[in-house]
Parts: sequence; structure tokens; C-alpha cells
Amino acid sequence: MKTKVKLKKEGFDFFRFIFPMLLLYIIFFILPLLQTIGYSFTDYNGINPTVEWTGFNNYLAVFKDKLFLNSLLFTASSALLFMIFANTIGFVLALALNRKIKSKNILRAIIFCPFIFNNVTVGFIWQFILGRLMTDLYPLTGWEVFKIGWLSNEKLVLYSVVFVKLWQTMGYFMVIYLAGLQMLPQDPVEAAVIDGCSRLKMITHITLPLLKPTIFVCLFLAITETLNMYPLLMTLTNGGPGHASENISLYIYVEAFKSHRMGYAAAMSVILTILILMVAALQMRLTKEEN
Amino acid sequence: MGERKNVNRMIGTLLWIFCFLMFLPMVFVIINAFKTFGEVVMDPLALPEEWNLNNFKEVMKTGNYVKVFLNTIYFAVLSGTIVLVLSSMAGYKLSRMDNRASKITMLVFMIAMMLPFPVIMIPLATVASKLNISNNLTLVSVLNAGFSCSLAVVMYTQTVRGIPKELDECAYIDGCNGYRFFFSVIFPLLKPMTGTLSVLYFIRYWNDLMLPMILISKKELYTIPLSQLSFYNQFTQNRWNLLLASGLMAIIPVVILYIFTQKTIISGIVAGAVKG
Repeated sequence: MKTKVKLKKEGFDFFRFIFPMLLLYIIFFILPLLQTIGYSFTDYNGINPTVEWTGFNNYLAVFKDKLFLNSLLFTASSALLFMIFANTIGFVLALALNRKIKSKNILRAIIFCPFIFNNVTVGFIWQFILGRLMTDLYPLTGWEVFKIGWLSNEKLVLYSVVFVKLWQTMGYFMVIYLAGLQMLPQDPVEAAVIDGCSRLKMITHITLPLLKPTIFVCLFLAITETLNMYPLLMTLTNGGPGHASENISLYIYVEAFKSHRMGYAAAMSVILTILILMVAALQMRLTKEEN
Repeated sequence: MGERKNVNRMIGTLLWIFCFLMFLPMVFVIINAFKTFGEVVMDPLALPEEWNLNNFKEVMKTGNYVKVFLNTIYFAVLSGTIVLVLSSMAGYKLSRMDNRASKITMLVFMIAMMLPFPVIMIPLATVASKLNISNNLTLVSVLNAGFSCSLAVVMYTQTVRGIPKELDECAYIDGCNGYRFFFSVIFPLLKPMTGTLSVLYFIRYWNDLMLPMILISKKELYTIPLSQLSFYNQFTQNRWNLLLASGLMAIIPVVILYIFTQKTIISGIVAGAVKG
């Protein structure tokens, strides 16, 4: 009897407290997500009301699409580059700031600051610096670095984009690593100091292994950050030159809203979702094994 | 010991140099935001001949900036309020219930934290135009709240775990009504988390480009990032003086907010990242 009453009360509470948020979330996130899957099997274009079922045609076309493969390659290489640099720089900065430095709070605040700038503005700033200002620095200094078209060269644009993204987000990785470092147990470190362990050895043998959970979080965040950098790409390079800096999210946007091939773009979204869920599952498993 | 102090001082100096180099571009951005277009074209490195606010005034006039500014605040504050009120309620009950239903609900809420926006963008645009949500800032805010609530739900659920359960039971015995109990007892206890989340969400919505971009096409409803982008697409040759001025105008409010709340922002972002 008692449990029944309790269950009834829980059901009522669920309805009153959780349901309002859940309902909005389902309508505006879960249903669209499912609908994306539905659209991916059609030739929906957002304008024509008659939508035809095309089966797996979109998926077959996606894998033959050179621009899709190009965007996938750009996404993967920028994610890899960004992952390496964001984590290394973030970790080194965190190590430095974890010491007893006088103005460390101000330094932390300054380095983190670009993270709160909006992407459009960051795009403006760096398109101006890399595309406009640099061309004037070359005759003044004669340095070859300034002669290169960092945003107009198809091969170099990848590095420029990752560089700008790093400028914007390295503070983010730094503060996460810093929090991780501050939560580390102090006993192993003290023991190592007593044993006369060298600084470098202490980092590779004690700090890094203990920091593994934070590292996993940061690796995964690096992937999400690169997938989400398309608003920045829009104002920095707009995917160019050509399609050299078009990442998969930007390509989906362009196909859906500029070329009006929504069914086709939906198929790409589904593939992207599957890829991300695979990475997330891998991350969760690695984290679980650690615990 | 003295050696260690010296090393720390050296690292401190290096970090200051690093910060200086990092913000050197901003110096040029600020300088050029005060120049005329001719001056930018001639020599982007030189100082402006005359320091005045003409560029900022022009952005305000052509971009209808006052309206745009108010739109952005309305959009950010309304979406934020909806998210905070509804997610605190949901988070409260989610942390109190310990059954399969609540666990599954939690997992469902967390899906959105992993996926990038393009994944749901196409149906969202379709649904919004069918339900007449497009070009209605209030409804767009409701939609925005619905799809961006994950972080708040997760963080509130974690926070409520620290509030003793006995408190609920007392109220239950006293026959206190559920909503009233929540808003007069629990919600005030969640104040620190509400503060953190409101700043985080405000910045996120203030900077959001994609959602307004696919749902708002009327110029009088533009938010700041949208109006910046339309400004950018308006000229074939980039008017750097105006673009940089508009960029500064977009980030100044957030930077001011950041100066006063940077500790809250940073600790909130770290907590959100680690839990997500």
C-alpha cells in the first residue's frame, strides 16, 4: 500500500516538476533529432511541399560526394591538430599557473578572456590581422612570415584556422587542467619530493597518470569545439579558399540553407551524429575503465 | 628556497609576455576601429589622425543598434529565465527520485550536450516556420530554452544532492504544497548555482549566431551577431573600420560582465565541462 502511494506521488511530482522542461526539450531537441533521420531518406528541400521517399539514395550520394569527403578530412585534421595543441598548451599553462605566482589570478583571467568573445567578432579580428594587417607588415620587417597568405593559401588555411581557434579557446583548456591539477591528491607528490624525484619525472610519472580523467574530458571537448567552430569559419574564411576550410558542420549548413538540399544535408547530419556517439561511447568506456 | 622564488618570478614574467603577445592583435583592432576607411586602407599600422567615435556612431545608425541591442537582451534574458526556472524544478525532482525513469530522463537530457547544432537545425527550421515561431522573438526564446537546457538540468541535479532530503519530508508532513515549498525553500538555497548559470547562459545566448540565423529573417528582430554578419555581407570590400567597431561593441558588454564575475564564470565553465 505504502509503496503504491509513494509511486503515485512520484508520478505526480514527475509530471509537475520535470515534465515542463522535458516537454520543451523533447519538442525542440529530441523530435527534431528524430526528424532529421526521417528527412535523410527523402528529397526534402524545404520549399516543395511534396516530399518523396528516396530510401538510401542520400546516403549513397554522400559517400560519393567529394566535397563531403573533403569536409570530413578537414574536420578530422583540424580536430587532431587542435586536440594536440589545445591540450599541450592548456596543460603547460596550467602547470605554470599552478605555481605560487603573484599575479596568477589576473593572468588566468586574461588568458581565458577570448573564450567569451563571440565567434563573429573573433572571425573579424583575425581576418583583419591575417588577411589585411600582415600584408603591410612585410615591407616594414621583411620577414617571410608576413608575406604568406595565411588565409588565402589552400594548404595553410587549416593551420590558420586552428591557430585562431587556439587563441580563442586555450584559456578554456587551461582552466580545466588547472582545476584538475588542484584536485590532485597531495600524498604522492610529497612522497616524490622526499624521494628526490626530478621535476620532469614527477610530471610524467605522477601528475599525468593521475590527471587521466581530466585529459579524457579535454580530448573529447577538443573534438566538440572543432565541430562547433563553423560560426567562426563563416566570418574568418567562409569555408574558403574554395572549400579548403569547410568543416562538416559548415558544409551541412551550406547544403541545407544555401543549396536547399535538406534531405541530403540531413543524411550527413545522421552520419555526423553516429560518428560523435561512437567517440562519446569510446570516451565513456575509457573513463569507466579508469575508475 | 630562494632559487624556487626566482623560477616562479621568471615564469610569471614569461606568462605576462605571453599575455601581451596574445592581446597585441587587439591593440591593432582598437586602433583601426577609430580610423576612417581611407586611413585603414592606406596604412593599417598607423594611429588614427583624430580619435573620434564616428565609426561607432555609424554602426549604431546603419545597424539600428539600439533596437538590436534590446532584442539581444530580450532574447538572452527571456531564454535564460525559462531555462533556469524550469531546469531548477526538473533538477530538484531528478535528484530526489532514484528510479529507472529518472535515470533514463537524465540520460535523455544529456544527449544534447554532445551533438553540434547542425544535427537538428533542419527540422528545427521547418517546425519553427510551421508553428509560426520564426520571426517572433518570444517564441524563438522558448524554443531556444527548450533545446539548450541540458547544462542547467545537469548542474542543478548535482547541486540539489547537497541539500538534505529531510527538508522535503518536513514540508511533506506539514502538508506544504509542492510548488510553494520549492520556490520558497529550495530555490533560494540554489541561489549560488542560479547565479553562475545565469551568467553562463547570458553569455552563451548573447553570442549565439546559428539559432537566430535560421529562425529570424526580419531585420528589426536581429540580434547582435546577426546584425554583425549582415553588416559583413553588405559590402564587397570589407569596411574594416566599421566591422571592427561593431565587433568591439559586441564584446564590450560581455567583457564588462566578465570583469565583475570572472571567478564565477570560470568555475562554472569548468564544472559544466567536467560534468558534461
